[in-house]
Amino acid sequence: MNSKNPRVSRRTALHGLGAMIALPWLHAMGSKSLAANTKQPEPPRLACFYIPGAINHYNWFPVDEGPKYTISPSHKPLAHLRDEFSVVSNLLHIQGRISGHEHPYNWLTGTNIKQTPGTITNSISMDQVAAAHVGPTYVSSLALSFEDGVGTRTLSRNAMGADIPAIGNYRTVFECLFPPADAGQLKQAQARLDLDKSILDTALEETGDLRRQLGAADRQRLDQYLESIRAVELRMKDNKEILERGRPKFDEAAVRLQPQGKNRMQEHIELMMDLIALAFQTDMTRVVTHSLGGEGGPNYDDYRDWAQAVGAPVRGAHDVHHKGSGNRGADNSDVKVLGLRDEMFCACLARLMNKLKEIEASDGTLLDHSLLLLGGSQISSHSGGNFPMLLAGGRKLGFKHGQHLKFKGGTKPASDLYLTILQQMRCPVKAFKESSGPISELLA
Amino acid sequence: MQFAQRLAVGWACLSLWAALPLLSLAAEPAVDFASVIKPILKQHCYECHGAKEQQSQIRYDDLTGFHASDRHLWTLVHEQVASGAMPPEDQPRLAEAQQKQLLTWIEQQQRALGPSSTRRLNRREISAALQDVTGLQTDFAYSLPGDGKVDGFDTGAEGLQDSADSVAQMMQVTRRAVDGLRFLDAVESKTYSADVRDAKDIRKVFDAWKADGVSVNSGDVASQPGSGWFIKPKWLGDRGGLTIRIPTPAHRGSLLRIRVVVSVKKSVPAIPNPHLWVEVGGRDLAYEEIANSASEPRALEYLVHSGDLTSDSKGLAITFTNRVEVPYAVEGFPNEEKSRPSEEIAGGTGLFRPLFDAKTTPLEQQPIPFVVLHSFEIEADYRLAWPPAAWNSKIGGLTRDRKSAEQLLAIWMERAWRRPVSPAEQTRFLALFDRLRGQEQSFGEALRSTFQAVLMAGSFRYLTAPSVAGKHSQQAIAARLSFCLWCTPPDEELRRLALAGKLRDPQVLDAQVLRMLNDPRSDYFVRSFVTQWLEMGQPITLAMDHIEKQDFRFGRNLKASMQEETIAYVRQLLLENRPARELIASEWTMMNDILARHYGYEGIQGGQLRKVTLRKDDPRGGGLLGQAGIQSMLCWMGENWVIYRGAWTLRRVLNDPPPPPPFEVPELLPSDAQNHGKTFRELLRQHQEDAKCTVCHKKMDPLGFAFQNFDLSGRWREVEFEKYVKNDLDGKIEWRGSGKSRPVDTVGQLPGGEKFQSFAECKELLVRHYTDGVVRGLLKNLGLYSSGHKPDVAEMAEIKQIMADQQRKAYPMRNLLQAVVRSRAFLDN
Repeated sequence: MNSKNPRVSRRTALHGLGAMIALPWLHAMGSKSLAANTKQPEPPRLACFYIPGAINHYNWFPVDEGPKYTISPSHKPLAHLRDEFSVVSNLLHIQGRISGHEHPYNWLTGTNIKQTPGTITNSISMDQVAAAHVGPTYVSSLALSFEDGVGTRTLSRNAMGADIPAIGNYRTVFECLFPPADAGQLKQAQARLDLDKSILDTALEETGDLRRQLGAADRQRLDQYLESIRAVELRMKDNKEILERGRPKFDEAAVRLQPQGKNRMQEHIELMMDLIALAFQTDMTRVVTHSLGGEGGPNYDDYRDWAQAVGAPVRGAHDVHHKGSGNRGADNSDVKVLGLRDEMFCACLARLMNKLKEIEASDGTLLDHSLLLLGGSQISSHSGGNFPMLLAGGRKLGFKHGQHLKFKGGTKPASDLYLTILQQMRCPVKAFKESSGPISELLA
Repeated sequence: MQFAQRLAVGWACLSLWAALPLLSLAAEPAVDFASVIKPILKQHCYECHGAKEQQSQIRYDDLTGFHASDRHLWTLVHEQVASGAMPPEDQPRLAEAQQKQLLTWIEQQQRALGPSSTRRLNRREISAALQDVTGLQTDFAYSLPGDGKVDGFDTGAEGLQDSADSVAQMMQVTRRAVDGLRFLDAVESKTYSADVRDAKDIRKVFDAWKADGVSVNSGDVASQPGSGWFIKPKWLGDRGGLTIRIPTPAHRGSLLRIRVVVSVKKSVPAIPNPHLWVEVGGRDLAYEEIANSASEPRALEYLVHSGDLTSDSKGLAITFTNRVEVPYAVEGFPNEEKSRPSEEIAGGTGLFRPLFDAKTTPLEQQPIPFVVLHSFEIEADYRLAWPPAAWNSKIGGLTRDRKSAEQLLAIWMERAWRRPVSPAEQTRFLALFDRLRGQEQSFGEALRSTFQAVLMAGSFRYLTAPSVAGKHSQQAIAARLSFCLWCTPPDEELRRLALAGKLRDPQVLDAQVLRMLNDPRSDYFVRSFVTQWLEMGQPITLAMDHIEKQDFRFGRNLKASMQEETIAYVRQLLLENRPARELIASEWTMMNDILARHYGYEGIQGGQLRKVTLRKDDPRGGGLLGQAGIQSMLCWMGENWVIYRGAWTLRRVLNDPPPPPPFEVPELLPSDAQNHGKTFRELLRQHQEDAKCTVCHKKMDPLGFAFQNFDLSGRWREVEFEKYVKNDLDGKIEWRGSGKSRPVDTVGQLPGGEKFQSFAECKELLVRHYTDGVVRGLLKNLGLYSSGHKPDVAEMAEIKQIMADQQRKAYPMRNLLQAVVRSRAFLDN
């Protein structure tokens, strides 16, 4: 994915001028969301970002609480957006607690996947609950990562608890986000949907016959297959309607799918976030998760440019993700590196928030309708006893921000935050995992 | 960990939206749960497994009856109560009547529930089944997601779930499968091929296709007219070889066929054989030892989907690298590494290649092994004429009419569904064909789509349990047997036996197991079973996973061979019908050249593993526990993994799994500053003082000490180091012990309290006192692997019976497998 192409796109030029400038593709849609353009009510969006390899909690958690709290060192890049986000502390998965490297498995699911050695018995992740209710869109949800893959590379688990493969390639993300641009291809895609429907209908009939001859326990498994086929058919039906509308119009040439740098961690996050903004604006998907490839994460080389630029004392391959873990004190040089990396991630988030703020929604800005969750495990014992979490955006979804909300340790399930998110996104759910109820303090 | 399912489902209940399977299918109980069973549990179990305390993370107070999702929990209760292990010794026993009530109730409930092992094919089986029906030898599984596992096995029905995503992906994969076929369609592929034995000018061969965008990079290749192109060896960590670039195939799902004919050329016979590493579009396709002479060259063919490959602006790269990783010396040549000429790293391959001047030494005299390329063929947009000629399908004179379609469809359906197909069933799919033809699709297009519908049908995707397969129960047994032992759909002979209704005859079954084990395809069984049983999916020394940054001693060949030793060892036990105690102790093992080097044995040449009798003074002896691959995978970066090794042995070998650790226990960090200088035993004692940990660690840790003689590479050591540090060796990373050394401390005890002083004593005690447990665990795992479900109470009784029958004969391994195949668990449930 490394480009030696010296061509400087307009997008890159603008990048240098700062994030407040609207991007080219936004002009194509008039800096408006699809709903704003078509005068429809604005649907909710959700993006969950995971920081792998443990967050430096010394720099993350603000020292004081409440609406007048002091911005913590890691959140400095977000300071000018203070009223657009809240820091929520002491959230955990009570029964689903695990330690170590498996957090990407359970961060959004709350399931203790270590219960059975050799088995991953996970359950649906919060983003997929949202995806099941907020659609239909062309792509029901997107799982992004640093490299293609499953396991700890993805945050999303389907209704069966199985991993949803994450995509790490910008072009693949772009191609999967939009219907074909060419009219002939569009027509072909529509014909393909019709054909697939006939194929599945025929398969469905036969499977129904097979099901009838089985016992109750076995029948249940075939039911799952039948339901899944029907779900795919429904998706196809939705997609057909979207295909009829064709590809949304925006300045495609300005979308950057090639990184400029070689060791490109920050640039990678920015490119993915640009695609998320584009996806949200054009309403091709409403739900995204973004990981950086497991707790092992990208290796040192991928951070090198950044490390040199900020003077992070990175020494070797594992520094950024590993050596800082364990409870080694705020002054440990490896811990400091993690703090700087967290700050970098917050800067990327600030950039995305600015961008979404620039996009006019049918009511307010796109940021007001988007919920951005940022979190991970913390380096103190590398445990899930207190996930550092930050929630941004969504003021039109009823959220109240600008506070550090700190709960009593060991008592407040992260599921409560997830339930709050789901309910404010108007998903008809009464509970998530071990939730006790929505977090009213976050609501206006 | 039978209770995990229950816990998982318990949590799911908390969430109303969860689409997890919640079964409540049990028939009306003869004995009432609430009035009879619950009080028994309350009286005897709640104290440790109730609301207040959940020892081993098991709790009973929230059970409301017998639910399908709890069936394994109840099997566990039955097992524990029937054996007298629960309630524990210091607690009041169950009254005899109570015990009987409880056990009978569980048995009745399980029987009423019936089998539940109809399951979908897992990822590797889908690929094998698609290969079988299409005749295309390509990895269809590459773009399918991984499977859920039950106790580590990918054949467990409960783990093989379906969702909209998996079905959508299956649509793509089946589309690819049928798109790789042609019937009467013309060949539209593009082939680049050449016989290069006499081609002196390499570049010239490719110039002919320059206009297409084909190019070559041959910096590491020399042409030798009369022989072929000599690909020079590369050492571990180096890249390069022959790279051919072709234009990226336009159609993303199309197949790319690559065929090469190669041989080996060595100036001295004793130097090791090279491995040919084939990489296509960033994907690792093959890594094969080349041992064939020029007169009997080897033809290698690969089929790969272009959609699974990545290409860059210059096209799609196909690279052939000659890789040598076995260290060797040739008389008359000095060692290339001169700084430490005498230093011998035992088993190491860091310093190994003879020094010579490549410019002045003629190619044929150079002391290195060459891979010689005779010819190559690269075909883009490949499609196979179906049905494959080898099938002799006896359908001559195909035309584009309905009758031909009907004939082809009949063959396809029977092959895909692994059973006879009725005319009514065929009519449904023929109707689809007619409809598509009516929509002006071509004969080929319409037939391919109809074929795809057959693959999406439940009869392809699902393996039914024989007892519910109705008139196809024989075919269900054939499929189960075949997918188990070969990981393929049934062959001609099994299909014939099924049709004749012979597959419940114990003698026929025994003969089939024997026939199938002796067939090379049984490698799939041994490989998947052993790797899953022994959790061998873990990398050998994690730190060296990255091919470019690893120690010379941990090249791909060595790491693969280390795992191969264990697989080949179990295969040999089965083939020779050896007693099961040899899983623990024997006088032999399986070795090839690089393993011999690793273990310090001489005179073993070639990459093929073969049976080797161990030296009497080899302290490891034979058996799984002394194998480098096992002990290396249970060890990470030079630290002492006593607990992990102990826990693994309990879990996987002794059938005595420790419960999961309690929440929020601080991890042991030997490299932590405050722990420096302490022996591992001291650290463990520190850890055991924590009351939460002591119960299990008392079992795991003392056992784990038996394996302290194995270093991180799984080799034997007499001394251990205080710590390990990273070094550079020949530009590569190595981990070396440093600081003070101390004799290895291997004093420990087994779970039953038997004390040992050394690894050898530990093995002796294991064989004497634990062979039954090892066999029971093996049978349980074989049962789960072969039939897709964990044994219920009745099947546990069957296992007991098998053990009683086989104990006198010292549990011969193949007989155990045959007994599993003859069991009700396999033939019915």
